[in-house]
Formats: sequence, C-alpha cells, structure tokens
Amino acid sequence: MSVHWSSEVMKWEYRELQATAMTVDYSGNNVLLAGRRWLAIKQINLEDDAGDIVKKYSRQSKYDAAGAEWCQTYHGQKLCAIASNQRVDVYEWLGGNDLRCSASLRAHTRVVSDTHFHRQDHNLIATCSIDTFTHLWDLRDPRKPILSMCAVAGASQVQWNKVASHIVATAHDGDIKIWDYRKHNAPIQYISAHLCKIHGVDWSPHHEYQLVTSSHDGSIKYFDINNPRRPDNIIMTNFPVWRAIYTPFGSGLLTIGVGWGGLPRVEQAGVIGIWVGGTLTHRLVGHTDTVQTMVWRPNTSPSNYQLVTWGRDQSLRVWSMNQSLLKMCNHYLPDDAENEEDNSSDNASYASTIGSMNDISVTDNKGQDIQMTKLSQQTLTTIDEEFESIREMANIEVTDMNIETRTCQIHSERNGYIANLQVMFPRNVTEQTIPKFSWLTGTNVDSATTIKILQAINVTAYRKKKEGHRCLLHCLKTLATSIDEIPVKSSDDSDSMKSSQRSQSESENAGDSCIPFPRTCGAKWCGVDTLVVFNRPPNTRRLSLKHETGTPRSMSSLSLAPALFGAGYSSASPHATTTPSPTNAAGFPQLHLRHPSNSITTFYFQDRWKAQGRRAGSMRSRGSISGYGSPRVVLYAASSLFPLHRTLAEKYVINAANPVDMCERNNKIASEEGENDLAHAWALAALTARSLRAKHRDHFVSGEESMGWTRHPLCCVLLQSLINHYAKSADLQMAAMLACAFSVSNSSNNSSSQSSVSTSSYGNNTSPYSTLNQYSEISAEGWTLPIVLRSNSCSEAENFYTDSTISKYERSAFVLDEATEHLYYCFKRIYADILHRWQLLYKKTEVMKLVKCKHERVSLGPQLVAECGFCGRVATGAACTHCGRVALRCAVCTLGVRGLACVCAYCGHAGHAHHMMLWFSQRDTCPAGCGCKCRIEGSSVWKGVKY
Amino acid sequence: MINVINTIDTGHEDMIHDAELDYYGLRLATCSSDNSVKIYDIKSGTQTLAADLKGHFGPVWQVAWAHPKYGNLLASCSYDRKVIIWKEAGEWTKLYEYAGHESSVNSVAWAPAEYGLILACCSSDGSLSIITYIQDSGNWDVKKIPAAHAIGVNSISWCPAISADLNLDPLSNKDAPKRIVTGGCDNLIKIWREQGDQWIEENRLEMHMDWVRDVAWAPSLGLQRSMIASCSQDKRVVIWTSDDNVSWTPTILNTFDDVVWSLSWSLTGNILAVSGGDNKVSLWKESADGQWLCISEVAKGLGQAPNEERSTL
Repeated sequence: MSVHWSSEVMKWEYRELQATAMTVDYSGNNVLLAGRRWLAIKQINLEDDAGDIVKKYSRQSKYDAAGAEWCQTYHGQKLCAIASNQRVDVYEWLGGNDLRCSASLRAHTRVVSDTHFHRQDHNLIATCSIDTFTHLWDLRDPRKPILSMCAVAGASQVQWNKVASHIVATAHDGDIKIWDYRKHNAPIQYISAHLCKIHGVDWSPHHEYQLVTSSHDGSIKYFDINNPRRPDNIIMTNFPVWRAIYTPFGSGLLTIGVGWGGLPRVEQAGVIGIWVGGTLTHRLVGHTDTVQTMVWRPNTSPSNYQLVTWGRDQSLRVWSMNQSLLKMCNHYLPDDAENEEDNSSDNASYASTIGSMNDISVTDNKGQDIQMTKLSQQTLTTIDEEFESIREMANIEVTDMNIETRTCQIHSERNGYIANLQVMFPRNVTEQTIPKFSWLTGTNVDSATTIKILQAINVTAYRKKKEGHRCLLHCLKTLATSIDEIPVKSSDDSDSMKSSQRSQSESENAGDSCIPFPRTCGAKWCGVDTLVVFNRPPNTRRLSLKHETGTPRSMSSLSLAPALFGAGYSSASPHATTTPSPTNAAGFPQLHLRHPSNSITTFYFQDRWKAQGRRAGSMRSRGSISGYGSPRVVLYAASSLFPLHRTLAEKYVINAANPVDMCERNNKIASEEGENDLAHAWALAALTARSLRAKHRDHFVSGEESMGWTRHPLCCVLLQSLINHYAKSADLQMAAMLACAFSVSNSSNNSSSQSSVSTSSYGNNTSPYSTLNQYSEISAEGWTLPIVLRSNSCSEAENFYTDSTISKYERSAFVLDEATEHLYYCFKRIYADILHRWQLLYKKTEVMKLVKCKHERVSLGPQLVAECGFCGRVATGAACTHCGRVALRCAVCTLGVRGLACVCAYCGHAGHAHHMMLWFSQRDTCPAGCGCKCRIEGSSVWKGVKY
Repeated sequence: MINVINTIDTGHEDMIHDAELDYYGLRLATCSSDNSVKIYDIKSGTQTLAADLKGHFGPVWQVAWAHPKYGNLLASCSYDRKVIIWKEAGEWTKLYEYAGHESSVNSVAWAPAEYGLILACCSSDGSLSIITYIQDSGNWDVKKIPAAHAIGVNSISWCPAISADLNLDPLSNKDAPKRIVTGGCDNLIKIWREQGDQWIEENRLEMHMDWVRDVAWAPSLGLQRSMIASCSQDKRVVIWTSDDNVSWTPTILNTFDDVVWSLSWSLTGNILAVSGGDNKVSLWKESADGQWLCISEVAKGLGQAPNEERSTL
C-alpha cells in the first residue's frame, strides 16, 4: 500500500498564461512557461514568494507550444527551444531581461513532437516529428539540419543518452530506436517495446545502456539496449503512463498518467507516483489535473533533490524529496549516521528541510557566476590530482581520460564480472559535490547489484569529500571490493561454461518476446477436400489483460499472466515440479522450469487455475486440461464446396485415341451421376470432336485450311473457352478431362496408338498400397541403379520407366499456340495429383500419359530396358526401334504388353500389370518358371539400395 | 454443406498447435504444448494411435508431411529450437535432427516434391534454413539465410512448382525457379528466390501494420496468376496477386475481430481457410468479379448458425 502526502514546497498558479509547456534552466532558478500567447519566465528561488512573473513576452501564434526546453549545459544556459507546429524556435535569454529569437529551425513537414539539446555541446539540438524524421541541428547554421535520421513511423520522443554523448533514443509508436549520430543511416538498436504508443523515454542516469519506456498500454518497461528482445523489468499499472523518469538518486522511478482516455479513477489525475522495485510506494498529491511536465531541478545542492512540475490545472509546483523518500528509493545519505534522530521523525522535520533547502538555493543563485570563475582554476588541478591518483591501481584499468570533458572511464574485470564505469566531475564543484558515476556498456553485473555498488561508491565519495580528501582513488577501491563480494554463481564450473550457460538462459528469456503467441486454433486443408480443424474447448475464457484489446502477439505476454495473479501463482506453478524425462538434454534445464505451456493453459483456463490453486497438486496442469477433455481435432468433408467428383473420376473414360467416343461415353456417365451441366459440356465436346474427325477424314487438307477450320467458333474456340471456363471456376477435373480428350492429333493416326503406349514417368513413385500398410524407404529423384537387363527364352522384360517422349513432337489438333498447350499440361498434372490423392492410380497414369515432355529426358532414375523378343536388341521404348514390334511380352499370357507392365527387379520377368497382380495374389514364384521368388526377391533388390 | 467425418480425441495433455493429414488423407499428425507429436490412423471413421513421438523438449509448433514418394516422413518444429524429421521404418524413429537455430523454430514446410526432398524452416532468431537431402551421400545439406527478418520469422511457404512458364518441362518441373515467401515480426512479407546456390531477396511486400503471423502461397491452377495470402496481428488478411512473380498487388480480404493466426489454401487454390485468436474458422472464396466472399456462416459470427458447432467444438 502506498502512502501519499503532499510534499510540495512551493506552488503558483498562472491561469492567464494558458501555458502548455514548461522548462527549467541550467541554474535551476528560472522556469520558462510557454503558451499560445505568452512566454513567461519565473524565478523560483526567491524567498518573497509573491507569485510574480518576472518577465512576460508576448508570443502571437496560432499554435500551442508543443514543447519547451532549456539547454542544460553551462555554455548554453541562455538558450531555450520552443517547438510549435512544424518549426522549432530557439530563443536566447539575454541578460536576464530580453528574450530574443535567435534561430528558427524549419525542416519538418509535420508537427514537431519533441526537442532535446545535446547534453554537452550547446550548439547541437535534436528535434523529432511525426513526419518520421529526427533532425540534428547545429545552431551555428540553422538553415538546414546537419543530419537526419529516418524511421518508418512518426517519432514522438527524442532523448540523448545521459552518459554516452553520441547515443540518442527515439520513440516510434510502440518501438524504440537507438541511434549513434555518427552513423546515422541506420539505428544501432531496435527495440520492439510496447504494443501501444510510447509516451515517454528516459535514459538511466547511472547506466549507459539502460532506459525506461512508458506507454499507453499501461506498462513501464526497463530495457538494456544490449538485450533489446526482452525488457529487464516490466511494471504493469492500470492507467496509461505519460512519463516515467528515473530518480537521479537510488533506484526509484517517477510516473505521471495520461489525463485523457478514461482514467479509472478521477483522483488519479495529477498524482505523481514513485515506484521502487516495481511497486508503487509513494504518491505525490497536489495537482488537481493531469501533470504535463515534470523535470528534476538542475544543480540543486547534493542530497537536496527537487522536482518541478507544471499541470493542466495551470499550477507550477516545486516538490522536495525529503530524506525518507530518498531512503525509500534505496539512496543512502552520506550523513545517515549523523542524522539518525532526524530520520526517526521524518514527518515532523518538514519545515526545517524546506527552510534549509531555500537557504542553499539562495546562496547558489547569488554566488554562482562568481563561484564558477573562481573555482575553475582550482577544480582543474583537483581533477588532475584525482586522475593522477588512480594511475597505478591493480585490477583497474583506465581506458579513457579526458580533462576537457572532465570524465574518465574505468574498466575492471574480476571473477568473470566486468565493470565499466564512467566518472564525471561536475563543473560547479562545491565542497560537497562528488563526481557522478555511471555504468557503461559491457558491464555484466545485474542492475540491482550495480545500484548497490553505486551507493557504496557514493558513500565513500561523500565521506572522503567531507574529510577534505581526494575521493576517486577510494571510490575505485570500494568498487573493487564490491565486485569481489558478488557471489560467484557456480564455483565448480569453468568460466567458459558459466558464460555459455548464462547466455543460454538469457536467450531463453530473450526469445519469448519475439516468439509469436502460440496458436490454439487453426484450420488446414488437407488431401483433396478435407478440412482439419482444431481449436480451444468452448468453455475456455481468455485471461483478460487489462491493457490488451486483442490476443497478444508474443509469448512474453504469458509471463505477464503470473504477475496479474499475484504471488499465489508462483508457488502453485506446476511445471517447476514436472519430472524431467530421462532423455532430457543437458542444455535445457530451464525449459522445464519455465515451461511456457502451462502458461498457455493458464492463459485460457484461469478460472480453473484459481479454483484448483487451493488444492495443491503437483501435476495439476495435466489435470486442468483433461478436466475439459483432451483436445480434439475435427475433420470435415467439404467435397460439396469443390467441383471435383471422385465417383466421376473413377468412371470417366480416358481414351485420347478416340475423342468422339470418349466424349460421348463421359457424357453418359455425367448424366447418370446427375451432373447435367457437365453432361452438356461433354455433349458439346463430342460435337466438336466429330466435326474435327470429319474434317480430317474428308479432306487431306493443307495446313492453312486446317487452321481455318480450327478457328471456327463452334470448333476449337468453343473447346478452349469451355476449358478456360472450368479452369477459372477451379473445376480442374473437367478442364483436364477436356484437355485429355483432345490431346492427340487425329491427323497422325499411326503415331497415336504408339503414343498411348508410353507410360508415366512416375514409375518410381511408391504406390499408395505400400505406403499404407508397409513402410517404404526414402527415395528421391536422381537415384541410380544398375540397369536390370536380362535375356531369357521368353525375352520378356519391361520398360519399367519408359520415357514418354513421343517420337514425333506433335501438337494437339485444336491447340493454337504453345502457351495454351503448356497450360493444359499443367491442368493435367494437377488433376493427376488429385487422382493420386484419391488413390486412383490407373486413372492418374492414363492422364499423365497425355502430358508430353518437350525435351530429351536426362536420366531421371533407374531405367529398365527390354530386350526385344523378336530381334533380341535392347529397346528403350515400348516398341522395339529395330523391328517395330512391341518389345515386351507378358510372362503370363505371352502376348505383347501395351500399357501398364509390372516387372520383377530380380529375375527381370515382366507382364501385364493385371496379370501379374492376379498371379502373385495366389503364388510366390515367377510365372516364367525361373524359380525366382519374385515377391520377396524383387522387393529386396530395391531395399538394398541406400535410400 | 460441410459435414463432420471424424472427431479425433487426441489425448494430448495440453493445447494443440497444429494438425495435418498426410497426402492420402489417411493419417493425422498433431502436435501440442505437451512436447509430443502424435500420429493417428483414421481409416473409416475410427482412430488408432499409430505413434506418440517424444523427442522435443518444448512445445511443438508445427508438423508437416513430406510427399509419399520419399517415404513416410514427418517434420516437426518446436520451441526447443529444434527441427526433427521423423521416419516410419517399421516404427517411427528420428531420422534427422536439426539444431541450427538459436531460438524457437516457428514453422516448417516441405518443398514441392518436384524439387527433391527439401525442408524449409524459420525461427525467432530471424533466420531461415533450407535443409536438402543429398541423394548421393545420404546426408542433409543445410543452407542458412541469416537475418531474414528483424526480430523473428513467423511463417514460411513454398511457391508451387507447376508453373505457366513455357520453358519448363511440364513433366518434371525440376528447373522451375524455387521461391519461398516468409512473414516476420518486422511486419514485412519477403519473397526469396534461389539463384545459383544463393537465396536472394526478390521482393518485400509492405502492407501489414503488425507482426505477420502466417503466409500461404496458393497452389497453382496452372494459370499465370500467382497468389499469396498473408495474415497478421493487425487482424487483417491480405491477398497478394501477381502475374509475373515480380510486382504484387494487395487486396484486403477482410479485417477480423481478433488477430489472425493461420491460413490454408485448398488444393485447387480457390478456397481459403482463415482462423485466429477468436477461436473461429471461416472459409473465403473469390467470386467471378474478383470479390472475396465468406462462404461459411461461422465467420460472420451471427448467432448460432447451423454449423456453428464446428468452430466451437
């Protein structure tokens, strides 16, 4: 339960300004309020709290100020930027009196959403806009941006890194892009952070690589930019979060909600929440409407942090962070020990705190400029001394040292932990100012520990400063000892093992945010017309995540579910107790602990979860789903949706040699089956076939005349449009059958019989009978086998794998061009595939016979050649090329084989397929009498082949 | 219109993520969050458990049957970053295990049988793998396409081999250019083409505003036109058409009430089954004038349609 009280120190109301933006200057004493009509500067340090505006400048603009920002560097402390519609005006506040517009930045084509001055170079400013561009400007040449960073979505925020000066983050809808402006054509990192728009981004003041995002989906996420796939931490709130900013001390976070869009409770508006460790621990109450801007007051004295806020209620407030708040955020004051009694009576000591705070800021203000010049010489030497002191330290390596920017970088590696620390000495050093320490990329100590180490270092620094010593050396000593104190994770493992394990578990977690949310419902078309459907049982109810409207997209949402259930869930998590299977691979221990499947079950069975949570049972997840019955798969026959008829396919006659007969018989078959439309089409086709045949019989015409007839509207054009019609309506059966009927040219009658002999190239397909009942080896096209060649008295062999090239390449009688013919081949192939799925193998083969191969066949597989029974020569085709007779003789009936043949691969005897089937259904041995046990031997030949 | 022919109690201990019938429609493979793959013989309305395959150590996302000319092969992919190819040789055994991905493998798809025994898979680590069986050596050759999609790849589908290209041999179609379409978390759909021994990105289709969950290349009707369907977290289904496989025109099929998870084209390529997070299945067909119409009442969600039960079973 969070406590809340009002801890504001000062409050002013300026209703007449209608200000929409606020910013505080470098000194922390001047506040700029920007509205549509006025710019006003207010000093907040004075004791005579009259609420007077120091200066008011008229600003006549049609547009509200979308943002105002004061440059936070010493040299640029007179500069401030005001974004309004498509441009950004940079003002210079001269001599504390005159506010003069020094530059106007115009390059954006849509509304500018945010501006941010570079943290060190006051000439640089980044601006971003919903026109998707983020421009970087040099104020010395404000005519055009010096560089632009382009994204796909509009940018809503731009923020410079607080530690590394070249890194900038931009927010685009739900995504964050991290840029290095020296390499600006592509972001260095892309974080898919939220499902809704990101309102606020804030870099960690302590870590170079950490930032926090706040989004309209009500979540606040901490990211490590080196690990963009998964947030380090997620805070779920029940309101859209407008801003979430780090506290400059300790490990706290300040949030403000969005005022519009249906806040759950009106009193939430204007409340500033302080979160520590993922829970709301404190609320600052005072504003009566939404807070628009909150900034930390710059350059306050140490341990006296102040927050300046401007709300929609048109009030400006200054809040002080009293010591109990600092303590709450795990910030230990340097003088904890001395102020023991103060802490015990926190609430009572308000007045004194405020009083002392005011004193300090007054002195700050008055003496600042003088102090700066006076101190600069002295601090320089201090820094020199500080830097000098750390040159010779064991286990600590100084990687970078820069007196100009007053920073140095330290690298330390101990026990497998790497710590990279940046130390920055502030410019206006007072007696008590300590250097600022922040973590750099490469540090592999977890964040909680880094915060603790920082505290320890700060305590040391304060103590040493107080004693009047140099502090850096002692701070680094503290760093070294702190790292030594971190427990080594698994002492018996070697370092490499450790790191690989760590990376494994990291990627395990990292994966979930980019793994799509599991499908629990689906439909798949299988076979010719079967629809396979699986889905969730009807009484499942989806876990309602408050911030989600639809089903989540990634599996990381599943890990949110336990958080919503509260602590009760984790103790009841059943998969922690799932027994690992004996075959468990060593590398996947986490999978059993973090099994996502219970989460998916939990996701949909939450009621059951809660109910059963009380009766603890280790295998409950198993039980929970079986409580609803095991998941089912339903198969639907959707044959009526498709114009494909299995019965017709079985009955249809394929006889390309005689199209008239084929069409007439199929006409009869179709009308018997009640398919009158199809019957009608067949009748038309029969007419066409008759006229084609008549043409050829009556006139042995020249090519030109024949072409004339084929263009007759009732002949070929009719046929083609019939086929096209059926193909378009997905009736491939009819399209392919019509194409089949007219695939052989009547003009070359003698070759047509020959072409019908050729068999399919699919000889090496495993027949469905074997795939049904037996297993089959893998086979692939391109396998090679020795040619099985055998001669014997009967001289039967079979062209098991005949090439289907027909001696003469001939074109179907009615087809006009090659493209159409190719198209018809495609129809036939698809229909053949359908027939195959229906297991109508003979029909399939008959269709495939009519698909012609244009090119010479390259060796496609095992080739069986026949030795001609008459002349004894090897024939590769169905007919012997030498004597012209049918090459194969049946071992059963001793007649020549036309059409399907069957061969034993071992003894080489072949026969009519149906004869052989009949024979071997009763016997084992070869019909030729060679004694070969064909059924056993024949198949073992093929089995011996390695795949 | 559509009637139930079989209801299979899978006996899985957790949610099912995919189910597929083999080429002849005689066996059903299912996979589930209980880490197992099950195979059922479903002849004549009865079901017999033929195999319960345990080899994955995480939820199994998808299964795919290979063409029967290569034998009885089943591929499965899982959260445990592995792809397993199972083979029936008397009983089902693991034939090959591929562990080349660094994150969950989300989808597997066999290439058209004409190209040979080739499996494509995609993973949340952003890469694709093309696994080819080399006949001569009996080994599996892996070609990886790294960084195919930022964040991750969710779905993969092959272009059919039968094409209207004149120069191709209609019998074998061996030389047809191999193409793959993928959908990823970068909201993009990408089309890849094999060129030499490289896979190059041929096209990228931008339309979706959130993660693309499934892509499906329609089976060719032998017509010139190619079609790809894609669905996304943005609740939309988009049909992409092209006459040359180079320029693609999108048409929004529909915007649904919830995210759309999976798509499936019928064998003749004219009916699309769509299913998504709302636990509903709808069937869509293109009318003669190019409009996409919902032909099953379920999808409209108007009360208790007669075959409502089919989606809520």
